[in-house]
Amino acid sequence: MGMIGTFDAFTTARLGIYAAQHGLRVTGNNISNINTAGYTRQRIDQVSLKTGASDMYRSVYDNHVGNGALVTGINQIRDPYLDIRYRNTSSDVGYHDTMLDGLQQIASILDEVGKGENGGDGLLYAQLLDLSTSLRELSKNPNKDNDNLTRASAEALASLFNTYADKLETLRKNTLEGFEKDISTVNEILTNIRDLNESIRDNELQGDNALELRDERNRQIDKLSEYMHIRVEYSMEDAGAGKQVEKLTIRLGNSNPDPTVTTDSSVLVDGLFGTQVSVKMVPKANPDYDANDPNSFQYLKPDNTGTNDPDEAEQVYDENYILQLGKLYDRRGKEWEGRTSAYQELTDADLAGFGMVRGEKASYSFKFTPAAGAQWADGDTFQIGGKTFTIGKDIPLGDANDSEKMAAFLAQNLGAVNPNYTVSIDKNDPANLLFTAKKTGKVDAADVPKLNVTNDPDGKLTFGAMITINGGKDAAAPKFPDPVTTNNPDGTQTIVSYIQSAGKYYKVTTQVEHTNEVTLDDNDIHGSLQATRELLTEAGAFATKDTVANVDENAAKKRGIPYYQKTLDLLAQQFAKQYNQLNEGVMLDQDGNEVTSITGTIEELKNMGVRLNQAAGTDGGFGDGFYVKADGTYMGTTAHYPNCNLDAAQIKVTDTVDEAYDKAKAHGAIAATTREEKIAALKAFIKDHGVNEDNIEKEKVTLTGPIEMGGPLFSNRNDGDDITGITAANLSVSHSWSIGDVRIVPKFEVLFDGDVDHSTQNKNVDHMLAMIDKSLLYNPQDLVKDAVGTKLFEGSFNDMLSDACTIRGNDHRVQDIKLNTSYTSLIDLDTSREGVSGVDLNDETMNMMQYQKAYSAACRLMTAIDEAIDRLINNTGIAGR
Amino acid sequence: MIRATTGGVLKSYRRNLMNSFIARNKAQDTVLTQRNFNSYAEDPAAAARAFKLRKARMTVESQYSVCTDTHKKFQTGWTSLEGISKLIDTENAEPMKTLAGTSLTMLNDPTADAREQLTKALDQISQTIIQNLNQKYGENFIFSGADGHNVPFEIKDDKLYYRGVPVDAAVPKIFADGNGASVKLNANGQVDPAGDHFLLSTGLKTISESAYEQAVKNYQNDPTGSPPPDVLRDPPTPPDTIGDPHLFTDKDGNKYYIEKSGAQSMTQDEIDAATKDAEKLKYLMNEKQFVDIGLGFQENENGQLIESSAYNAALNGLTFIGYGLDADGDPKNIYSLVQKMKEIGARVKDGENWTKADYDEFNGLVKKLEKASSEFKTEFTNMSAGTQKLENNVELLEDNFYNLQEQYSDIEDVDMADAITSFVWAQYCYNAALKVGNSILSESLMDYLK
Repeated sequence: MGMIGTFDAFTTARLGIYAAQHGLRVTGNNISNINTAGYTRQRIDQVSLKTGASDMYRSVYDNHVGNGALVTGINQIRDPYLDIRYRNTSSDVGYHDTMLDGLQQIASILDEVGKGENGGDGLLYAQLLDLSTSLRELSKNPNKDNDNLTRASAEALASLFNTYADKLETLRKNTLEGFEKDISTVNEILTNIRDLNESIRDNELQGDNALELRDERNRQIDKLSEYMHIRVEYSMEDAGAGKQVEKLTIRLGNSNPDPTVTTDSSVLVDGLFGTQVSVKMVPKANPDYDANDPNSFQYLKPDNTGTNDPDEAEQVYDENYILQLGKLYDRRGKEWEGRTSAYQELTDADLAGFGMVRGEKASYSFKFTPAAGAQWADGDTFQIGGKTFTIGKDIPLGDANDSEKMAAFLAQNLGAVNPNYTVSIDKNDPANLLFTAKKTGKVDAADVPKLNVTNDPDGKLTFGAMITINGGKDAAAPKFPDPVTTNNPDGTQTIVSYIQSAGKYYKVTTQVEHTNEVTLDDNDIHGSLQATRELLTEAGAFATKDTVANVDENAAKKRGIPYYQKTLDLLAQQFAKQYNQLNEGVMLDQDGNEVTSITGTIEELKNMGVRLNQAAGTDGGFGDGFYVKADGTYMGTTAHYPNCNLDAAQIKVTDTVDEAYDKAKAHGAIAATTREEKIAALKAFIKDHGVNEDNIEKEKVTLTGPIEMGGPLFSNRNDGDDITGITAANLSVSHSWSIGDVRIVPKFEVLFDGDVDHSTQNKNVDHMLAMIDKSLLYNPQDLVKDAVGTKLFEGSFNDMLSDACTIRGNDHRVQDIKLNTSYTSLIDLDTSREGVSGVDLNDETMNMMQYQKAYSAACRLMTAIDEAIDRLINNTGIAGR
Repeated sequence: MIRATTGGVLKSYRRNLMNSFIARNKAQDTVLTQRNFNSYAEDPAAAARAFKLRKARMTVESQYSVCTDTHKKFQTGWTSLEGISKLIDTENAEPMKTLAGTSLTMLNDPTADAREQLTKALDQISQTIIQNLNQKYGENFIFSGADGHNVPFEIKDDKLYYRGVPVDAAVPKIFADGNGASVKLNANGQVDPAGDHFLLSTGLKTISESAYEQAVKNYQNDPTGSPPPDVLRDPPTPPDTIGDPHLFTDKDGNKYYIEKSGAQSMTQDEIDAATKDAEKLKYLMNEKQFVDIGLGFQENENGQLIESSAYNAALNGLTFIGYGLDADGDPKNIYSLVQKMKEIGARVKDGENWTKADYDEFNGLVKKLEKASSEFKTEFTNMSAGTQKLENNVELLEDNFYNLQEQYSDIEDVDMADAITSFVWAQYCYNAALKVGNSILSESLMDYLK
């Protein structure tokens, strides 16, 4: 039986106390963190301690008892597989949730179920009904009042379109802001994870598991997984000195369905290195660029001037909001490098090329040639380097007379005389003594080996002359050039250097890889960030052919805010186009032929819908309120006021203010200097010379054919008549309609030169009424020239909006179902994770009780041992006292 | 699940409580809004269907309004025509009450002492007919075709105008001789190539060369007998004072004279004006005003209305009282006929006998009036049928409207019993969830430690 340490048991009890105390602390920590987000429950790793298990002199009778419990560490309980599934599902939830939120916001703008009067027919529908009511009134009685009424209704309708468009644009801008914020958050998370990796690594190197930091890192990874689909990998890496530490790598989760695209698994975080996400910036394109015009500029600078230098141009987001990943940097800003080295040992010839000389040791030989017949006798002596050797005592007589043995004896002792040489016997000639220098290098004559042997007269210790086998050579180290770095076309570098290791020389060729900025493909990420991108960019049937060919082959099926914006634009454009077309034409007679001449007052003609232009208030003319003839002269002057001087003055609307004024001045206009004064003078001149501004509408005029009727009712600006590029945002009642120059044409037919009236047969207004419910084809290419779709919808204005709402409703519903499915999965997974990693009060209470009891028991053990030892120390060996 | 942790159970509870609350809220919304869905997303198919039904209902509502309006217009018009119908009733021989009665009394009046009164009565009745045709429905004139804002019939100088066009307008028939050449008359009514009046073929009376010569001979033999008819003559060659009678030859070579009494002529301008007026009348008679009363109102690809898909709501007064001239050059219009009768009546004094010519002419006009009255009745019957059709259509549209209303109500409106039951159940579930929460939070092993 082996020795038992008297106080061993105390250690056992103490370790028990420590272990229980640790347990209590961990339990306490778990309970404290029961509500901490992302906290993973911890437990102690406890082992049974046993010392001396492999004693060298262990007796077979010796029974080792363990030395108690040892806490080797504290661990957390996680299921990595659940983490992977949770994070995959989390990106699904992020995607669908964000998409659903976006669609919900579009719905709040466009979805009109239950809105408006008549029990919820919708605002636009209600306004179209209002327009049809006004048109019906106009059809019954096409006068100025009813035209004004219709115009007010049309203005309200245009304003409704403007409001929708404005709200959608605001939504798009807000979504863009959210997108920028999301990118900033993602970058923050990536930085956090990278920095946490470093902290965890530092802790790990110091022997700490850094559980709390891991919890935080997991929480950050969970957050990241909502924004993008990621793949998390753990591996071990060499931290130097043979120490292995855990390394975390996060890549994109291979979301792109296109197998040729590899950017969808780009690295986001690689241990201590991390990247940042940004939106690709491109030079701002000049919308007016004409490739055939050498003076046209391709880009615009920040001050809106043109340039052809893309670097000089203002940098704006790429239209598809393509994302880029930056290079991988550590927290100190050092870029990631991947180095692989190849070692090639250098040959002597290689080394000679670098001037290397190998040192040689000098060697000499002396032939031991004792004289023939000469014999040693016992007691004879001889000296080597002053030391005396006696025959029979230091060497047996027989050996002394044996020349080979004597040579060997001499070789053994000549070393003392020549400390720089090793003396040996030539294997091929045992009588030949070899002197080899201990160091390499050339030997000077003074340093050659010396025999220093006293010879006897008989020649028993005779040596031949020293033969120089090698005079020695000094060594020279190779002179290697500085490392040479070559930049390769693929962005890598090759560094060539030379090293010496373990006496050998090597040529080292190192390939250095750098990380590059990665431009992601359209579908490389999945998650809320991608959903926001799609909300910002997807235009469905309005997507261009180029986008489908080069960005996303499924672009035509995806619908974000631009789709709804363009749908509304197409609707507004179609609406304006149809009504503008309906309101333009020439006057026809009862047989459908063009009327060649018509006479009537301005008011009558205007009520018929005849187009009468007022002088424009631009630099081409000098004021509103005066009607002009087709040739630009002011109308109604000679017919109604024969004495008028205006015809003599021949003022035309095309005259500039100065020109018109000069003409008027020559015919008696008042003197004026400034532009404003000249305009006032001109107006006064026109009034003074017959044109009564108040009664101008009563003036009778004769117009010759073709007599243009109507004019644009809707334009792209309230202060003009430009009908090009009408969108929902700019749809306006035209300037001419708003000032009354253009009226709705009730009918284009005039019966028998106006002799026969047909006051209640206003066919054109009826056409306009029918137009509200007319089925029209909506072609996306009418709005986006190279759009992929050719037929968005066929139906009435209202049906078109209803269709957009139905499409949105269906998308919404699909996203809702997908969100519910993925969210339910996420919740299940979260519950499962909670089941593994969460803190349970019952569990912890049990642990608390268990550790408390263990603590008490260990303390009790100590008392028991104390009592036992007390017995041994204080109450043993006093028998008989 | 291997472990159910406190945190996990609480999370799960929170989530389920939220679901329960959402369900309760949704049920509450359904009860409060009384709608099955409040956005397209809730039920896109139902929302789209409801939208279509609402639209259809609106269309039917508009058609109903138009149809009712048209029906009322027709009804009012019918009443006016009913009044006219009584005035031109050919069965009613009562003098002073009807045109037929008055004119027949005038014709057959043995004493001829009330002829003036009767003539005035004829005029009054014809005036009343026109007044009836100038009836308005709402703001528009009923019988004005497509010109509801303007009075359709106007009487100027005893002539009737419809929308500014004389109702007796007809394309003048220019007389052509055997060679097909027109014949011109001068200001004195003589056949003269240099004249500016064209001889019209309407109402011409001819007399063969032999008959005329025989009449001349007879008159020469017996100056007390009837003189030969006054015929168109050539301009006199001095010392002639009246010129020779102009002998005409037809295409078969027969020679004849034209009596001056029936010869009418017009200048080129008058012909043009009359032709234009006739064209106007023709246009107006074909004028239609279509309205959508639910017959499938549709335009063809050229934007022209497909007439069978709409209803012609134009009521043209001339359809009922006639227009233009007949082959004899007499008006076909009732008012004009009466005016002509009135002229004849004015020629015959009270107590005097009819001349044969006047009697024949008057009698002829009475017959023409009868014919015009008969045509009026035909058109009146047609119009009555149209009114009935509109009435039937109004009922049909009404049914249609309620049917559509019911259909979309079925889709949109909730069954309140169902909605309230769902809400009560959701409330119950929510209350139960709250109760469960109370138990979850209170119980753990920790509570049993001393």
